Amino acid sequence: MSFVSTGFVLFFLLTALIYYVVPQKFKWLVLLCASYAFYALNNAKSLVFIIASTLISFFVAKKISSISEECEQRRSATSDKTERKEIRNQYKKIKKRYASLGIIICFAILAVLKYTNFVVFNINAIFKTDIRMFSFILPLGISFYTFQVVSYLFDVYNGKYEAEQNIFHYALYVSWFPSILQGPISRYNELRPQFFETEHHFSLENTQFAMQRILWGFLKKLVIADRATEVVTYIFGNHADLPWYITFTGLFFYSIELYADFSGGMDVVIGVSELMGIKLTENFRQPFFSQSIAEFWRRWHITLGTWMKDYVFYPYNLSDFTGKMGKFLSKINKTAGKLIPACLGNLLVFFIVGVWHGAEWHFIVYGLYNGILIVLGILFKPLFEKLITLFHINAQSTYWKAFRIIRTFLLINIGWAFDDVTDLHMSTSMIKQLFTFTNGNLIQNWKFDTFSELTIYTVGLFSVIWLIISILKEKGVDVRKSISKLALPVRWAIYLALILSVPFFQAANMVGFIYAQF
Amino acid sequence: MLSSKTTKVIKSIIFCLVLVLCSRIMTFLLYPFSSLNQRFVRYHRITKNIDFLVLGNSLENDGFVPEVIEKNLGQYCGLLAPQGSYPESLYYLLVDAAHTHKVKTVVAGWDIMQNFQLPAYKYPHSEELYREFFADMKGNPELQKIVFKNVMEQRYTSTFFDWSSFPENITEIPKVLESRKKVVDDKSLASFTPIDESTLKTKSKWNYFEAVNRTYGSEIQENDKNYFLKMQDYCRKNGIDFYVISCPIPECIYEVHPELKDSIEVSRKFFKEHGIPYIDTTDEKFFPQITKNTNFSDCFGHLIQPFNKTYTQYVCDWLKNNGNF
Repeated sequence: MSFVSTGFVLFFLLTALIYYVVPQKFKWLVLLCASYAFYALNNAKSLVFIIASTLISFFVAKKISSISEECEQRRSATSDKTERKEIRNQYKKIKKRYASLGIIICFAILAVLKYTNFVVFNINAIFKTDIRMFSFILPLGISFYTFQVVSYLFDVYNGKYEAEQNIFHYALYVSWFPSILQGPISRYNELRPQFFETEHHFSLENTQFAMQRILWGFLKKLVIADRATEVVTYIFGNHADLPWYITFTGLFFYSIELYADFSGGMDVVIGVSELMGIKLTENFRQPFFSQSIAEFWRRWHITLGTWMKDYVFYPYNLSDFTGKMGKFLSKINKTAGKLIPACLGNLLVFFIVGVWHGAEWHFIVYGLYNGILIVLGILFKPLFEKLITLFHINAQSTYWKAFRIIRTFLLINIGWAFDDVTDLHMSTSMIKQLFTFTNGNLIQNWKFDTFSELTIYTVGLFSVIWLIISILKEKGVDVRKSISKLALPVRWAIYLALILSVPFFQAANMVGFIYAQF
Repeated sequence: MLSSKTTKVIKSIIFCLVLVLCSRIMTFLLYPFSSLNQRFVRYHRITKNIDFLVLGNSLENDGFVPEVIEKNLGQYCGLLAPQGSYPESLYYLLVDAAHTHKVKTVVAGWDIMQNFQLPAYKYPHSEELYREFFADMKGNPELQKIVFKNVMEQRYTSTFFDWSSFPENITEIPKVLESRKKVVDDKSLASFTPIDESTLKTKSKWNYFEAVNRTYGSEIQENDKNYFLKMQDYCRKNGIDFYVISCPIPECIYEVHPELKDSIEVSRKFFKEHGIPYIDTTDEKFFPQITKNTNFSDCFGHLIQPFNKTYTQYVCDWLKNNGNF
């Protein structure tokens, strides 16, 4: 059931209706039933995997919590500091074993279902074998809910909060239907109070805001993303016969497509959740205004970035191995001792980001491309600072900021050549074309078979409107609130234009959400 | 004084009413693009690019077997033939299909019994077709299942706004408005020839009475001509091979309405004049015994299964011999 289908609209409206009708103490139960119904309607067979991950992580976390309790009891029984420390270390090891077991099993389910064929493919290619591919089903949203359960296990292990005692409460956190397909990757301590401790009453204002957000998401997806797809599909598919600048235009359109598709999906997700009074974490913050690649990843798919930071980068940074490596390198060179572990940490994070995106080499290269750019940024930072001083550049000036934004945007666009392609061969072919200015002299009146000029104008028009809204948001203006303060005829005209624009300008072909495949 | 909450609720209701009104206006202006009646259910073979598009009404829908075309001509075939379609709507279906698929060949249906009918066939508006469609659904669980699945899976815009369109269609609005004008009824039903009771009884299950009750002219409506020429023009501009086909007519209808031969001749002449390849399958010149009553499920010319496979095979042979295959 796609987020832009009639089925989904009817589903969430019906859920909201029942949700606000039932008494407060049953509201979470409505959400749980709706979440599982949504999952079953999409693919009943894969229910077994989400239930398995839920059960495993729930009981492991519960065990970890009980170990922590036992540890605290034993520690409070003694006043000897050394003994207390010993007890803590002893229990920490047991907790670590359980946490590792839970995390490994949850990741193993993801790895087997998603990456087995990738491994088989590579074994066949390297060793010239003929091992048959497996036909596993890929459960809906497995990458998203696996990351959620792992974050929960980590947090319980680190004592950030206690383990949930009610399995059905926990099951709601894992399966929360708006975010199950494409995130955002939520944290248990953010959702728990909203699900179970906050009273939710129907509010017209909240409903209006939620519906506006959903509508804005539909517009981004159906009008901008799906129409941009027509352009991207044509250019990427025929890039070898096209001049380099058209290929670059294709990458530019892919930026628009991917951002509209993913952030449009997020708007729908956040809006639907908001309709029930549950606020999800924002996943985007005007990413194309970033002045560096590192900043881009703090603004793009924010919840994946923070997950990587909290559960990969920090544990790696605080690990004994990194500590020892840092000390060893510091003996040779103090700067190297600081920088190299940080650089390796970034490469590790972006390698995982690449793998997370899919079981394809081009995704891994895509992740590493971003990682390498960030590493280069770290390594050359002192040099860049010297150059800025040497050329008397005012780093705070608008021109310099604009230059950095454009530079970052271009680098990001080049990176897409590793993202929306069939294989690495296609990526290298596109990159080679861009940097050798292939077919640069080929000038003709471009006539595209699969889309009309109106498609380009439509994408252009709505992208400009979106850009204006993004600039306002970047300046701290709450656009929704500002519109709600306008005079009624103006406000209604805006809403009606927005609603009627979707069916009028939407692309003829419905394309699935890109991130719903993960 | 009303409370702020009540005012908000009233405002919301008024807003919804204004929205519905706007949507109805759009339906009025853009009805040929109406997604509900034209893309509905039938337009289901969209998983791959459609190379070979069969456009038409229920005659083509019943008469063509896409798999036979794929096997014989090697082109993936899409059957876009909603019940009650007419030349004008075929044009929009063509534009719609060619917008989403890289179509190589189009075979458009030219329904002799519909297009030469007197009084001129009144094209149903979207709401009427919609109503008829749901009337058909009653007591048909299989159809209900298909419709439910389609409704649930289709874009919400297609369900809640039956006019979903492309901006390209704005230029067609004047034509749509023209087609909205009422058609004046012709009083030519007087030419009806009563038939004997026994024939009527034996053939009533074929809608015999309804079919023979009609009268047929021998002039093509200007609007129909225009839209077929528009289709030809569109296909030429987009490098699509364009063919027109007329499905077979049952012999029992020829017996009562020999004037249909003139209608066919007029059609043949018109398409020849404009260089449109015309596949005339209306009588036995196409292949022997094609007009045999037992090939049809009713007197309007709907072919039965598995005869439709044989028929499609013959059409493929014709295309191989006379077309670009």
